[in-house]
Amino acid sequence: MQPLLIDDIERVRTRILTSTDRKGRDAELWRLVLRCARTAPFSFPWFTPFVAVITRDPQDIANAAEVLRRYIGKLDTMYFSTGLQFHFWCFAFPHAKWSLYFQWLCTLNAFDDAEAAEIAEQLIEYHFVNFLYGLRTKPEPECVDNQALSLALSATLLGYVFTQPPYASHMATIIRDEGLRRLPGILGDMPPSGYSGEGSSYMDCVNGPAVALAVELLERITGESDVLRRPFTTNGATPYAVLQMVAREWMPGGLLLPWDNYGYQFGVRAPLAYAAHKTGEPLFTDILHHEALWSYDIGTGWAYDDLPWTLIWWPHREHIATSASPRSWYEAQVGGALVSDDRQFYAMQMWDASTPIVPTRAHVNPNAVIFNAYGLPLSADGSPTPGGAPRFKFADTVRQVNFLTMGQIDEYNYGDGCGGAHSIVLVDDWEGLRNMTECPQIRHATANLAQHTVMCDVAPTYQERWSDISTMIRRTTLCAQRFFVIEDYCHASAPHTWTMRYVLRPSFVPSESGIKIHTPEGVQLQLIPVLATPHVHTESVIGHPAKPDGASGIADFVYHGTNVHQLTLAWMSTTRTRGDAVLRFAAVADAADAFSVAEARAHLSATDIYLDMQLPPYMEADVPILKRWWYHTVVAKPPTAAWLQLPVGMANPRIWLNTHELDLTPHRCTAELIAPQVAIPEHLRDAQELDILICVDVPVSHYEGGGDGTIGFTGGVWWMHPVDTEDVVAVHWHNDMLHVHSTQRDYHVPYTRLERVPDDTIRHN
Amino acid sequence: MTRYATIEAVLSQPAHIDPASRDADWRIRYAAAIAMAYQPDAHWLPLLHDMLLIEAQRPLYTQPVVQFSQGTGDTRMAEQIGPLTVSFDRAYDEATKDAWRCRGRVRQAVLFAIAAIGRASPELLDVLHSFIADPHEDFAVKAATARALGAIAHPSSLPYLQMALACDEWCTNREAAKALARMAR
Repeated sequence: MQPLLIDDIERVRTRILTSTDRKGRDAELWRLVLRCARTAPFSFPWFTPFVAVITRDPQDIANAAEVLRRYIGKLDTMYFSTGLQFHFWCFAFPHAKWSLYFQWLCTLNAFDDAEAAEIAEQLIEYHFVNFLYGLRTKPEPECVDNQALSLALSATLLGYVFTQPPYASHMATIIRDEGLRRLPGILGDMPPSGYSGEGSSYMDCVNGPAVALAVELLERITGESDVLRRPFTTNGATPYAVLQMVAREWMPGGLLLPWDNYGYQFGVRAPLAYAAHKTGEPLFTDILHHEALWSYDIGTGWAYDDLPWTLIWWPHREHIATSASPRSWYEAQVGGALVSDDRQFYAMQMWDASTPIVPTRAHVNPNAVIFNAYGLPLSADGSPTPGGAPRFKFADTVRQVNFLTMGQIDEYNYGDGCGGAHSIVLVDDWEGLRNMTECPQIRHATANLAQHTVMCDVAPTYQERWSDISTMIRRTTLCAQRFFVIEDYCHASAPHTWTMRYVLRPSFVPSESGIKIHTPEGVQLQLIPVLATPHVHTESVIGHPAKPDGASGIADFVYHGTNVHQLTLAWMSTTRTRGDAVLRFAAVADAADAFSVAEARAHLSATDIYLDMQLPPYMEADVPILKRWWYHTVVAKPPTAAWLQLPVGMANPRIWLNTHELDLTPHRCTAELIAPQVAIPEHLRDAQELDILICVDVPVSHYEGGGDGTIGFTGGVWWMHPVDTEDVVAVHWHNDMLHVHSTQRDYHVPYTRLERVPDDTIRHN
Repeated sequence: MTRYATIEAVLSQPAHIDPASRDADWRIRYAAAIAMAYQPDAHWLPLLHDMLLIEAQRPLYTQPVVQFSQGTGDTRMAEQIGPLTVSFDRAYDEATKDAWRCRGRVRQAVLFAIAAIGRASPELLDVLHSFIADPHEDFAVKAATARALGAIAHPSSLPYLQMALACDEWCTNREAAKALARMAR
């Protein structure tokens, strides 16, 4: 008996077990997974079955068997949870995974025959009464989303496992057939773009991982090959398109597009590994090798097994990307991203369909633009900080729901899904923009990636409320591989107020023209209206979106008239550059979380553990999995260094420079997703060397992120130096040429406006 | 015979369906209804009606708020392994707790069987209408009811399907819309 869904287990074992003989990201990942599973098997339970089938070590097998027993032990109690009763798809997927891992462990003789039979019966019956019920709740065939996909895949997977020898279960056969009957249709009825409309969170954590497993399952069950590129319905969608969209959601720097409900987050890795393994395309291998984080742990299909599947599907060595792959993309029903060749400058213009009436998941973002530069996000999008006073809450955007709980009524506001919370054009100040009926939302989407431009007319979105609006075109263009031009052309037969809104990361700083933000990492974005001077209004928002900053800034450029035609220059610049890494920190664990600074220093002076702060200690070295760690080094300070970049994802960090403790409070929220850069105090700028002492907590289980992903610090410590910033001095457009005069050079770019609009129709406030 | 073996027998041997529909264990009754849907025949309708009457006697939806040893019982529980314990506000008998485990599962399976048969007696139809009208009924049951009413296509169901169409829950209003469209043809 072979472990199911692993091609050639002996070859996989050999590849993984010998990976540590060489340097490589896969070796780094295997060491991490092995250490977690061995040192704390019940804190990292989702790693244990995989480690057991790879090592075949008796203790690893025993640990994994015990994990499975603990899972079985909780099944009955889960009946009394609102989760199992009403969100059954979240429980079906991990249940099917544990069923698969049970089969893996049976290949290792982890259970005697009687126990194995008893466990199998419990797994099968539980799925039969809970998740077959759940799957049948979803209307067929129109329910096509992460929930239906999870349920159909889970049924197919569990049914497959328990209809293979030695099993012959009628329940499993019914479950498998019901899943198999629906799974192809769900895959085939995904939008052809591959984007389900549910945002990066569900695309990345559910749809991508599910599609990879679905392809493997369907190929084994049906005997077909190349299911990855098969359109299952006339709709034209393929599993490949879903995986491609999962990859496209990655922005330079490693964060995913913040569109729709959950905002910015890190990406999972197994779908990329699978796509790279199957296709060898550089889009997937490139991200996997250069942008993926290993210390990020999140449920994929509500199971923390993303990293094991990443290793199982690790791409062939010949597929390792040797050069950067093009990252610009376009989908007619979704939007397009424009990325400079050096990946320093990124803009995405989106027009994916929003949900009418209650845009909870698929937000109203017609032609919204998202900016990213130097690997850092500049725009803000997502949902508000829980418990705060929401900036986007309107009288008609509060919904009461009583069908997902036991007798309670849940109230939630979906105002942050409306148009006003996005970088779009608002009409007549209606921030609650959304459609009330199912109707077309866009037309005339086009792109020319060779010319670095994407464009769409989203007038249909607005025409439901304003029938006189005929045109709402936005065209985004990357010019000279250096800056973007956002061209808006709005036309109506009656006068309106047109607000070109940009929702940005904090904070606004003074600007001689337009508006400018300066992020905590020293990256700047300046937006400059080129053709006409608008009324400019800025607003600082606390509590929206929750990530990365728990705050944002709204910049509104306001016009009145029947038409508005504007070019807006989006200019990004950095004020800092990264220097050398600070390496080789002495490290000690603070097992009782009780060291004083003096005690920590004393222990550090005696330690023989030296680490580079690239990952939590137990992922970097053979040390215990303990929560609190202290690090120390004394290093020569480069004369011009003015900041230290710390690892991203540090929990409860404290840092002392030459015994002076720095205030990290301003970085507390942002540092979860973006590496903080702390200023070296003025009195230490001329120091010859710095004594750096750091105290930080690391996650000691899968679960510390509370369901939203667990991040252990990563990325190391770096010196940051000031640079001469390239700022815009002047910009104007004349005779189809755009002239940008910066502090470092002049840019003269051919730029033809979409079409002429009589200037007298624009009345400036 | 173990419960697992009994369910397997119900699903593979039609002779086991009739007694299973009255079994004390709701999981076996659930299996019986699923088996009926795979062999749809009007002669099952009295049994299906009786099964709904059994469910009507059970406190399916009276579970109070409970406390768990891990978390709050929401979707995050899905990712965890045990041990896991639950605390109730007071002691309850096992029959009551088993009704809470079951909620609308047997009802849904019965409704799918009725939908597969495509017919219902007036008395059975009245029961189905009551599911739609009951504000406390689970959405899985309401959605399955709308589907069954669409398959039966009796004019008396129209106001109930309109009621289901107005329901805020997507599965229910989607099944109602499909049922109404089917009846309009």
